[in-house]
Amino acid sequence: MSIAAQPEYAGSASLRRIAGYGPAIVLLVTLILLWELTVSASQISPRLLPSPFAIVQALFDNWDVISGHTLQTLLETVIGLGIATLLGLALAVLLDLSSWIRRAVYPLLVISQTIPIIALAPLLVIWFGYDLAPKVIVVTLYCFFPIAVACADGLLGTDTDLLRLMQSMRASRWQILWLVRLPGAMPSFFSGMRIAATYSVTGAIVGEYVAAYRGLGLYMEEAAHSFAVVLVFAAVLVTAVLSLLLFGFVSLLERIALPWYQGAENR
Amino acid sequence: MDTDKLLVQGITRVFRDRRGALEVLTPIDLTVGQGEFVTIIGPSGCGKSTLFNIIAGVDEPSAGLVALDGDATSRRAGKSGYMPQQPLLLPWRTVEENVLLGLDVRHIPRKQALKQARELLKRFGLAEFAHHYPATLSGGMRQRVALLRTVLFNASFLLLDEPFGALDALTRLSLQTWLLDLWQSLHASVLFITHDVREAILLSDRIYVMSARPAHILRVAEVDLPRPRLQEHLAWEQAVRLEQELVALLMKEQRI
Amino acid sequence: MNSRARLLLTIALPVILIIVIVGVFVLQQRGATTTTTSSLGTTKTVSLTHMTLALDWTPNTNHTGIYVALAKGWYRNQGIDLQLLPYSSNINPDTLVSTGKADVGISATESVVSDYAIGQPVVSIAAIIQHNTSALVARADSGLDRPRDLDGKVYGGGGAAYEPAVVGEIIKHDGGKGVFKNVTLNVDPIQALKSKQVDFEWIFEGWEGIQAQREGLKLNTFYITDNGVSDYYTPTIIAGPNEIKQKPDLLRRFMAATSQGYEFARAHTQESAQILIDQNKGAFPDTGLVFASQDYLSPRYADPGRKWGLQDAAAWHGYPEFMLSSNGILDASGKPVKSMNFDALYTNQFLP
Repeated sequence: MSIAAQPEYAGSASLRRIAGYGPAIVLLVTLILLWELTVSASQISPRLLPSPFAIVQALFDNWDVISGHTLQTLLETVIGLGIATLLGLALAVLLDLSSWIRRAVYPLLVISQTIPIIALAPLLVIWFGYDLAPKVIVVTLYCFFPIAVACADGLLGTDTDLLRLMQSMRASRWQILWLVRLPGAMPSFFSGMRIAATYSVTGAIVGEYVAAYRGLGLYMEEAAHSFAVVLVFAAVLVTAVLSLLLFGFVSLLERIALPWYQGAENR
Repeated sequence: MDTDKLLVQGITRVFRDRRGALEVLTPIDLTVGQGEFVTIIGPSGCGKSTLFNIIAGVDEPSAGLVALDGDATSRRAGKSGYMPQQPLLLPWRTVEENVLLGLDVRHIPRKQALKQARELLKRFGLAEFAHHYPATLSGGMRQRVALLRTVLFNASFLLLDEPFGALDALTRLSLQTWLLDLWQSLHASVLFITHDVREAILLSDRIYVMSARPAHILRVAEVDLPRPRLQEHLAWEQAVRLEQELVALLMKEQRI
Repeated sequence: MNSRARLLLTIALPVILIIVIVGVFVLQQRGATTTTTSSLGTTKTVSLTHMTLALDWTPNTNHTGIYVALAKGWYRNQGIDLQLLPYSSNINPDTLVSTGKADVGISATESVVSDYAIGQPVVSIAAIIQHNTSALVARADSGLDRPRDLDGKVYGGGGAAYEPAVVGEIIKHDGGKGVFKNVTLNVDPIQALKSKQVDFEWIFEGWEGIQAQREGLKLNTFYITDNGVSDYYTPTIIAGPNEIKQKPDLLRRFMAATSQGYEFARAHTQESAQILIDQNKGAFPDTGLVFASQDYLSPRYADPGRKWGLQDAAAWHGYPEFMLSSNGILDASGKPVKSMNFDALYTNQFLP
């Protein structure tokens, strides 16, 4: 069924996409209302679980401070995610070179994900200090893995008939990779990117727990130590919004890069 | 007389694995003359595609000789227009970008390649689809685009592996006519595989019948019909007789 | 749009996003630094020695003197450009100081003793608060009215090795058995008490204690120095042994400015609390807590008539000995340490 070839339906396609978010919005609003009612009805202390309206209020009241921390965290996140993407792609190509390399390197990749941050932290601070580097490293560490694995799997799944066609045209190994296999792995790659984008902001915050002058992670610690729980939640809200925005950005990129991919349409 | 476009002599192919040896092709001999349209028909799984892979340079024979334009020693890859059964259009490329795929492999500059692709599309009536994506095309359209891709890569020797097999009867008929036009205007040499005996008779100058595995040539038939071919020619006496003979031969092989 | 255009766009968009974010960040940074340099007025053209101080916690009233000295330019007067290294939950100031990554830091007696035991010694060069202000607390309505009532109850602690030993000794001192359930607390200690998830905790009167009062939570407070534990210093300012050997003059100048700051904080409660708040924009959403805490702490930095920071030998022998004898201090391989040269743990030589 051709959608792209019929321009008169293009407008309703976008409307349909916006309407597609309907259920999510309804669910979210319901949960928030339930939360608000529970908190005001019961005796839950606002120092333990603040009401959603109090959180939003606090966010607006303190926006001038929070925005600075948000920008810091956002910077760490996008730079880390960018490096993770390049690293993930490079590793996927590396793993694809030979099965020997794959067997040697894959376990190391898995191990890299199991190193607890508390072991890594002193090394990061002593070698890289308190500036951007340790946070970017933490984000990269957590984000490169889903990208590398997804892309590597995508490369594995190339159609053998297509490979034969390319070989009959006397295409070199690298030509086949660039012209056919990597583009063919893009749907898988974007799967991995969506996962990485979702975890990237959390990664930046974990990095800030290691070493930071600024950032939402540090802000949350300061607020917690000053018993200002509503601000902790406000920072969490910002984190959630950032994660959603990044996820949406990746989805947008996917829609640009893979317009024909039916999977993307259904999201 | 010119050298044959394709000379296949004594080709065998044995696949060895842990379980033993599988003999797919016992000595096969065939030729395709310059500008000739030759078809191979045979039961499913007899090894026609394996033979094609060898000719296209994607596989090597266990024994025997393959010569393209008299050359038996240089690499065969890249010297024929190879079209496997599936159109295999790249979904992320537009129709015109798919058509110039072979030129991309040859490092031809984009501007030049686009010009050639667009000319070809125009010449064969597909110009309006140049900017469409394969996902929006029908099966018949995709086969046509794949054929143009094949032809743009190599217009002198085409290896077509059941290109119309997955299409409905009416689409198949219109594509057969389209292919004949293409072949006529390019003066290409074609080696064609099909299951459909009538299709073979309609399109070809000569027909090779292959046996079931391990495959060898059972029969070579000349098609004594005028050119340019028309659908009506299939009703002619020599066509009907040939059809019956070939069908009977194939049925026997299929049972085995 | 053909595949080349799509490829370019897919790469260009993220790159543009990153550039935009970096750009906004850099602009904001530049905006922030111009406002701070203009508030400092004329700066000396003399080159300053860069120095780092590692904080032990997010900024609080224990650190007031340092922030006062920073705000009033007293470190610059001593030729020091002091940089505060922020608190990190994953790495403690003792490690930074002993590896030379920080010149000085903030720590506590228990940590200084532990550091010596595991072979990464630091030296305490000043006591920030002269007398210990910590206490074990339980809810007033819990029926736990004296330390020996804490037997068999749930203790919410910080996960340090010496805690169970020391808390046990306190209970035994009151005639109890010293046996209780030890859990590591990762949440707001006041909420933990309120929710009855833990029965008692070890807190600082000057911060959590003040906050509990402000929230109306009534507590039974057992000051640990009233319950069998010798008085000791927490927090203290620490420096590494190498630093002491190689840069004694720098440390002397540092302590001169720092004690100036704390002496000021002793005398000017309101103003110094305000400086603490202003130097850490946004870190103290509840400024009332800061003022109340500063009111409590300012007179306690040192006893009246005594200069700030001075350390007595008794504080460095009594409690450390107590920790060792209760098997609370472990060496690098996990075995309890039995003896130690306590005099190596501290020095007053840098105090003005």
